[in-house]
Amino acid sequence: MRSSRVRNRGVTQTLAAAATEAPSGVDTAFEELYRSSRDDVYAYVAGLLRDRSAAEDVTAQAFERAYRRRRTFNPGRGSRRAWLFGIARNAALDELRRRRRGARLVTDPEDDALAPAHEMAEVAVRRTALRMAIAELSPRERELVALKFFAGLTNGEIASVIGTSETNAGTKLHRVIQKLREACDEAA
Amino acid sequence: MRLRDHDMPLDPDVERELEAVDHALQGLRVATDLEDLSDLAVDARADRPALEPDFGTKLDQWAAAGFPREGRPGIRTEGETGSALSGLFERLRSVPPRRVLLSTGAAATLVVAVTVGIAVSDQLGGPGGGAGNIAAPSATSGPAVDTVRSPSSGGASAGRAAEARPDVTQNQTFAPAARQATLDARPGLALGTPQAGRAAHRKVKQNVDLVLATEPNDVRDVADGVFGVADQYNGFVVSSNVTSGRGSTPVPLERGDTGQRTSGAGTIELRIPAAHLQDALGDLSKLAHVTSRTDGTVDITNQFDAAKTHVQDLEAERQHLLRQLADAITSTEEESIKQRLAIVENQLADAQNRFGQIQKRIRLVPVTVEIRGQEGVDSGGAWGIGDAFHDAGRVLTVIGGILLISAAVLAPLGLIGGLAWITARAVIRRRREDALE
Repeated sequence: MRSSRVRNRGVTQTLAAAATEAPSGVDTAFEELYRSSRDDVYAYVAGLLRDRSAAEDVTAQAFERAYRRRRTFNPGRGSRRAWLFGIARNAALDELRRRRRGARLVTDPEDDALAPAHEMAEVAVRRTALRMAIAELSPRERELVALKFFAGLTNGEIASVIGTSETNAGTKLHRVIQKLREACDEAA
Repeated sequence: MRLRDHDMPLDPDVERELEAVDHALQGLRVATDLEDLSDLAVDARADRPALEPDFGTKLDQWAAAGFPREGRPGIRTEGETGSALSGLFERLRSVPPRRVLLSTGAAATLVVAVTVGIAVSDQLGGPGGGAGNIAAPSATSGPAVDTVRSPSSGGASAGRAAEARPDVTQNQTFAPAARQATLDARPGLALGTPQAGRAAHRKVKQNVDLVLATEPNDVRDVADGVFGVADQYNGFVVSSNVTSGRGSTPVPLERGDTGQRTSGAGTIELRIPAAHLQDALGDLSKLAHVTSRTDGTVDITNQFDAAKTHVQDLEAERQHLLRQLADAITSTEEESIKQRLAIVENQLADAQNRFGQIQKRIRLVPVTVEIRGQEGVDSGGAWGIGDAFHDAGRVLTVIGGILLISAAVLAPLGLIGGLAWITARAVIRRRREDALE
């Protein structure tokens, strides 16, 4: 009896803790998706739009749309993460269509303090070259970079997001990587 | 609509390099010859845009609140969020397509079914439909033809011809379904119509022959119903001859009635006031299956006017003779006038009698009701299990018809809607893709 009471108290405490941590009104699966994808979605959208404020707005918009349509998710058509990025992509493209204007590429400032001096110069040169190479890419190519390197999607998820086969997505991605590779080699 | 390419295997070198990128992003070691790729992947990942801490906090709070429509974080709140229409559109988009499709389809089906149902009920309840009280023409009902005997039947319509010329005879045989409409169109009978006003001075004598068919056992009940209708409308029965039951003398079969044995019959002669004729006929028609109905109409305005004038002339002559008699001087003259007066008074009595008969003939319409007992005829008598099956079949037929018509309306609408939806999606997708060009 006593052990049962102790066990019950433990369960109650666990549930109470979960209740304080979990956002109210958001189901668990979506909460998990939100937590795992929040930064990635923003990075992808910001990489595509190259406008921080617009990226924030579109990120919020994408999560709102995804939450409202969370029951329309069909596991047979891809992963939950790919579905979320599909929604984010539509929102970002709508924003691009609406604005039809160029924007600056916004990236985080480099953390120079952490790198040794001899590495810092080398990395700085390399990253500057990479940044410039990315800026030279077409929006479609830049989207692939954003999906792969900023959002960390698998090739299969990228294929699902942009609506093509995995092989095709891989081929396109490889072409973009080659471009970046050549640009970085030239800079080096 | 996404068009997917066929999955072809990647080039091994390409696959190897892509795997190296994946490994580098996961923090794993890559082959020495692909270290530049590893650096590229790590650098690109490290250079990715990061959330502002302030925005991240607001976004988390907003997510914890369940993404309410109000208070969405982000610098720009105008544009998409400002429009009520776009808000509504967004709400609609958040509903699962299957549910939207089901709801829209159900609503459209309901609307179409109700519309079709109303249309069908209008048709059933309309003039040609007989309000469901008169059975559809059967094999025994005879041809649905109008036979008009008129001296001037060529050219103008029978109605106008009858109106224009006195003493025109119309004799119309109606199939039940066409009967009411034809009656309404007949001049002088439809009250309240312009024709009725113009023909008000016309004197018409009518006669109606009605043949009702019912189950042999119901012949007596139908006959009683006929008597009741005559009584209800201040008419009377001139004569009746009713034989009921299966053992009675069979009534000769009509042409086209092969295979239908008849037994039990009756013939009832009625006089119905002309003012109530249509109502009475309507009630008579409800008593049993109307096999046929013949309406006869004769314009006797000339006869009426002639008889009336004759009476007036004779009355005038009588008055004149009475004045002469009062002024007579000699007995011979007085006797002569009296003889003449007697003759005129006799003539006047005859003329008044004749005029009265004409008036009576106009006022009271002879209606001959023939009742035929036939096996398997849907009688207007007591409602039984057979009637229930019949009615159920009819209800199912009507429902089936409504569904069929609804499907005929909805199928093309659905096809058009589906095509429009697919087209709209393709256009939107194309425009979005164009934004990347």
